[in-house]
Amino acid sequence: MTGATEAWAGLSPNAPSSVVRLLSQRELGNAIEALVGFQPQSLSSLPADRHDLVYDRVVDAQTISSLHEDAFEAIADEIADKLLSTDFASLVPSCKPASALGTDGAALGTSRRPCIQAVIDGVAPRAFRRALDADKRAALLDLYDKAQSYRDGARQVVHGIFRSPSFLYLVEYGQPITGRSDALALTDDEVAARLSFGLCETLPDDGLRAAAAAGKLHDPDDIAREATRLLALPCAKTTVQSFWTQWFRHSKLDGLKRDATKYPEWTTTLATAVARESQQFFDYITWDQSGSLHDLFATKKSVIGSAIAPLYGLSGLGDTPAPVDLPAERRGILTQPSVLAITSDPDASSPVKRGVYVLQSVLCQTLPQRPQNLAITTPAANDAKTTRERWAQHSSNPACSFCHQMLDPVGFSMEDFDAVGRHRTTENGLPIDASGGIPSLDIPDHSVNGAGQLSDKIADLEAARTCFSRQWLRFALGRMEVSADAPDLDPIASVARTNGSLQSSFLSLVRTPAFRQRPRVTTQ
Amino acid sequence: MKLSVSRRTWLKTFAGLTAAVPFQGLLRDAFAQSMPTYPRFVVVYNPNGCSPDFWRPRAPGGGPADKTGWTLDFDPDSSMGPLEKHKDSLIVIEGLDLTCNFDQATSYLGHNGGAVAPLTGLHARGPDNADSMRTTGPSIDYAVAKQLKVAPFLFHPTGYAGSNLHITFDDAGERVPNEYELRTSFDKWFGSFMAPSSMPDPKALARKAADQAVIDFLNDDAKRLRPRLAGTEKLKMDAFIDGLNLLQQKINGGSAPLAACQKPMQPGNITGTQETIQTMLQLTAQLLACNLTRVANVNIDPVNSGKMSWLPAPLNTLAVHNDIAHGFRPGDPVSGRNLSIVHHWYATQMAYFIEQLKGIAEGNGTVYDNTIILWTNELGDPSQHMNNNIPFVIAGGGGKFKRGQYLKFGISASYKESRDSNGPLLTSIANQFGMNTMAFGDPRYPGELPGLT
Repeated sequence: MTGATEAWAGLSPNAPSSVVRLLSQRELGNAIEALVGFQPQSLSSLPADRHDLVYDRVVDAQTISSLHEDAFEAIADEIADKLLSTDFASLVPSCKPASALGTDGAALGTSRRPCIQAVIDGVAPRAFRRALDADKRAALLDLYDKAQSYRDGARQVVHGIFRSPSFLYLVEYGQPITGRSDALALTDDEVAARLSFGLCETLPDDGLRAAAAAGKLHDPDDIAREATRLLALPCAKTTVQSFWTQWFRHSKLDGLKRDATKYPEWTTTLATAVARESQQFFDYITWDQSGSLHDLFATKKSVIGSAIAPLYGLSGLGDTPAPVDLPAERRGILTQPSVLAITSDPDASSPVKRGVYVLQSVLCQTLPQRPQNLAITTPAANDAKTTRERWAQHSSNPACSFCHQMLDPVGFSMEDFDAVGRHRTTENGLPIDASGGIPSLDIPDHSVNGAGQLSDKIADLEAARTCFSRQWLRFALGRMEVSADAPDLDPIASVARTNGSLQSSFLSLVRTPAFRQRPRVTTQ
Repeated sequence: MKLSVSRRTWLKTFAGLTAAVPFQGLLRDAFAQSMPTYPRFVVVYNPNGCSPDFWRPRAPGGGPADKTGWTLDFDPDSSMGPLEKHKDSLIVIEGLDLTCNFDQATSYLGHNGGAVAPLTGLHARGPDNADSMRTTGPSIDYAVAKQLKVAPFLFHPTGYAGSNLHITFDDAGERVPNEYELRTSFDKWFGSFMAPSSMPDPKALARKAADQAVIDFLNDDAKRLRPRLAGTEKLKMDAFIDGLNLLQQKINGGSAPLAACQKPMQPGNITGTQETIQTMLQLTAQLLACNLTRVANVNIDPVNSGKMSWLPAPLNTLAVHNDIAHGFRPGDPVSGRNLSIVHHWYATQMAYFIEQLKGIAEGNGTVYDNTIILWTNELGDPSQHMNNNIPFVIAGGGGKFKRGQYLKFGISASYKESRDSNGPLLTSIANQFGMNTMAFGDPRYPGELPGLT
């Protein structure tokens, strides 16, 4: 790990938070679908997942409230209705009644008991991702028996399973490791759940469950083999897509407004097409090209169709987006209209937003706190100046300049693109000055010109590699990265340092101890 | 636990004696009444501060107001003019600051960080990349709901777009999500609600027993899991169990509905209008009347600080936050009046809510007499966007507060100083609900607010 220590300076010295995390809405929907074959509509009644720490599944950002409990109740009700509509035959074929069921009551309850027992034995261990404890099995059956009725009892059992914290939360108990007091080894079942939720946002599939049952999920090679298998599945493609779009904050495109006078072409349809370009670009780089992190920032291609071609100044493209060579001024993800639009104000580009985005989101740099009691006013719109001129004046205020010396050169170097991501050489009839740099990372101000050159520099930055590694760990493990994670983060960055593929980077995490162990929290 | 016997109970007792009600029944009644009887609690919130010169009460002939005998409708655009007819039941509190924010090294101030402290008395903490703020303890509405063992009705009419200004926080200091769609809230709270009749519905009773059985199972399940967890993990499970407990309260229905409880009409799909707010306030009033909850927190800004199209020109073309609040300059009558016109609209909604509650009979009075309403904001003077001189107003009845008062505390002359904390106000409210606390929120600002009781 020599030479790596410096790369990981600045991570939190705290102990890593252990993971008892609520499934994200997406994970919950997928898990229910895996068990009963459909996604309940009432999932939408759940309060939105919090994205405080960028991703929808970071344990430190999650909350639960009575609104969640209400939603879980509605979801379970919907599942029960659906399952009762086939008398559970959709789940357990042997539950299919031989003839019409008579009046409900204690007698029917008794005659249907074997079916409910089969439902419990079939569904609960999968839902809970571990063998069903005898006492919990007894408690579920007890719910059924006390109801003295088939339908009411069955409904309660469904509620018991689908509202159980063992289903709704990813819970890892672990087991002691000889000679270690700071960590516990995950059980094979728990590794299966980590792999499955980590790479597929759903419950372990048959293959993972078989591997866990055979005790084949604690050796790094075995874990990596299963991870490789999962990465080839459509669910992993969706999950990795979700990682990219969350990291690059593309949800900000939903309902993104532009000033109708200045950008009349900006519509919901265009915003959707802009978002789709980046999604297809991520797939193209990650899977079609087996590309590297360097490619993500510096490639000279994107996936473009006729809908967004005008933003690129391109013509003659088909309606179906396809990989094309970019105009000379563009490179990689940071010059796509998605990123350029979400880092702009409705009526103009925003050098400050772009600076913050690149430094904080893309490069994981900690920005200094805004001085306390600083009254912040944004420079007024002014049609006689360029955006850069408006902001330069503002940032010359000594109270602001400390921070803005860091931010502005980054944002100014992206001034060759407007608030919807079109390339420009003039603004308000004045020539664009897109010179800048990243002074805080030893790329001096005025050493680059334009967002394309900036992207080339970022592609070679160690900070880009370490930030990517941190983001992937945070997403895959559902917790914040801390300094103790450095040895497990470094293999991810190492792949990027040698221009290895993004797929190899993703895989490198599952071979680390961080992936198959959990911190041992001192019991209070 | 502190027992309190309300003045009305004693009056009732004496009235009963003179009316020769059978003694045994009287005793039972008096015993039941001697359990602590806490009022209901409603927080009404609007963002963006106020225009102090148009907001603070004035003496009837103009000039500075005394503690009592003041007037609110001294100008057609005065901020609280619509509340003039209710002023005897109001306590107008000027000069309290969100002091807990002032000596902090962080920049979580203004709207986002500022919106944490009005109800928690605590400074915000925020993670990197924070979309929303959190703190280290509960807000007063959450704590009161827990004390009264009810699920609170928390409504924010502009939905998640405005979630930065949700101002309710749970015991761990996490922001509590709000409901935001009127139809959904109606279905949730009133969908299957039927005022109980003398003939209990066997189906409903069976359903209630089933719900209870499931909750017992889930509680046991969470408790089975909990001992195998450690430290912060246990807190996660505790929050889950808290949520279940609130559901349980709802199943048991708390207290019986008042006679005046009426299931409201299912609302249409309205957002961003004056009607949104009035429908929300009607829903709130009926939730209280039907005893479906005793605690609410409602946001009366229907436009997420955007344009209020119904205001007189040119204000109808200006955004409340970006143009009107940001454009406010202390001492400037034009920008002051503009902001006051917006506030006047909020006060109209407040008056509407008061009238709704006054229209619901309870005992010898109305629901209004038994509800403590706290009207709050995250800013004072918005020109500096700082968290001092917050315009707090208490309305309603219940508790032991002396109504009809104007309480003036130290006016902080600039954003650089803070004098009197809002902490004691929260402590006073907490203690009206039997919490017997020395300091709600930040322990550096202990004690109750002088002059309230």
